[in-house]
Amino acid sequence: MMEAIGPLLNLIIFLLLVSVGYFAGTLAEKRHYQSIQKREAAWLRIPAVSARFDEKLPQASGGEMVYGSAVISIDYFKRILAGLRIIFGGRVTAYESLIDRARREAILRMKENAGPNTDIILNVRIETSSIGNSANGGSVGSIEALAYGTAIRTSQNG
Amino acid sequence: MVRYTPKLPEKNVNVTPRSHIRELFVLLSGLIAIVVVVYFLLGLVVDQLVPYVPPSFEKKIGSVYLRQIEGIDKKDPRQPVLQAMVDDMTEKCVDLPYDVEVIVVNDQLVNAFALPGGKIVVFDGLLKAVESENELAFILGHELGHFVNKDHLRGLGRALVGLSISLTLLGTDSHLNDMLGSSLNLNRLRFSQQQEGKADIVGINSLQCRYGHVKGATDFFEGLEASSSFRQLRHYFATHPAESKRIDDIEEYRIKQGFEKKALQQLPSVFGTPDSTSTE
Ligand SMILES: [Zn+2]
Repeated sequence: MMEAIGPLLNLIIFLLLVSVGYFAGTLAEKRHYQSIQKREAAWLRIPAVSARFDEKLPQASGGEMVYGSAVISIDYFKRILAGLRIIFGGRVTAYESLIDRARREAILRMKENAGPNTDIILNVRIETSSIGNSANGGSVGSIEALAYGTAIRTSQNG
Repeated sequence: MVRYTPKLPEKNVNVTPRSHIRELFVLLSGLIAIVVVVYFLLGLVVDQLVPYVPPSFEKKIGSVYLRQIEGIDKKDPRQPVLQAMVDDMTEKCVDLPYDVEVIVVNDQLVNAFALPGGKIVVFDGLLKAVESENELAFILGHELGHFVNKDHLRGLGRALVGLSISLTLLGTDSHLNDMLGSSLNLNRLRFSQQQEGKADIVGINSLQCRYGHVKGATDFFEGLEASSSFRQLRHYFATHPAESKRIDDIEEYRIKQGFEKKALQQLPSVFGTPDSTSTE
């Protein structure tokens, strides 16, 4: 009996962590997506394009670099799911929503950084990196998305 | 010039709409199924190979295990008594191709087990709990039975198989490894009920052979059963489950063989007075 308690306790703690990770993670993701969709609709007026504009922009009164970055952490449930994927292969769908949220949040922050008087953000680039790797096992801790571009304002908008 | 009309995407192509719970369940059950199949297949292979393991190789494995045991008391005054009992039994009653050595460990565990290489490890806690020489002879005979049936090697093979699977398959991903490793641990060094039953038969036969009767064979289990508050500390139990079934099986075998029950033999004085927590 005695030697069974240790592993059993480990198993209970593990299951607890997985379910906490699942419920908290799902709730956080749901709320985040609601916020993203609301703000995306609000900032829809300002285009963020990846094109470079070589020709002169005569009406432009100013241009500056704007950026936004977001760091999203994985939860315990997603970590386990991705850990299993490492064995079997295939698409790591558990991480897809994380990257998607980080990317969209970064672009939104970039637009917020540019402000409502911006006409267009040109030359937009997005970069991602994983940060905060856990010490044991070297699995991904959280991911960062960084979006940056050149915000253009025309004289009419001041 | 391209006309820019801002609009939101209708659907998110970057996120697969899939139930993660279901995915976890499918992957986890797949993994567990593979582990179980491999564990049992390798277990079968080990069972096939066990009869061919030479005693010299067994000794090597045993010494690895022995080095990990702490508190071995070479000067314990009870050791020569136990050794003499085992020597007597291996000479007259139990047929083994090698000599068996008894090792006394100064630990309160109520346990004894058979290590590869012909070593019977007996804990101080068990020696304090036994009340007659017959009872002790049965326990020693039972452990000798594990040697006769080569159970100690089977247990070892399964343990190695289990450990190898969890390390190879799961690599260094510590979270998964911890979980699966610990669930394998639960069954690792435990003999099956069938193996225990067979070892009990060897035990009772050696009692009959040594004393001409088999009284005391079930004393140990009965003592354990009666003092249930002490049960959690009784390590012997953890590896020897379903004790009442075993008592019944032993009794049934005794009647079938026509073995009698006569007076118990007192323990030699080096064993001191019996532990008060045991009954009878
Ligand atoms: Zn046993």
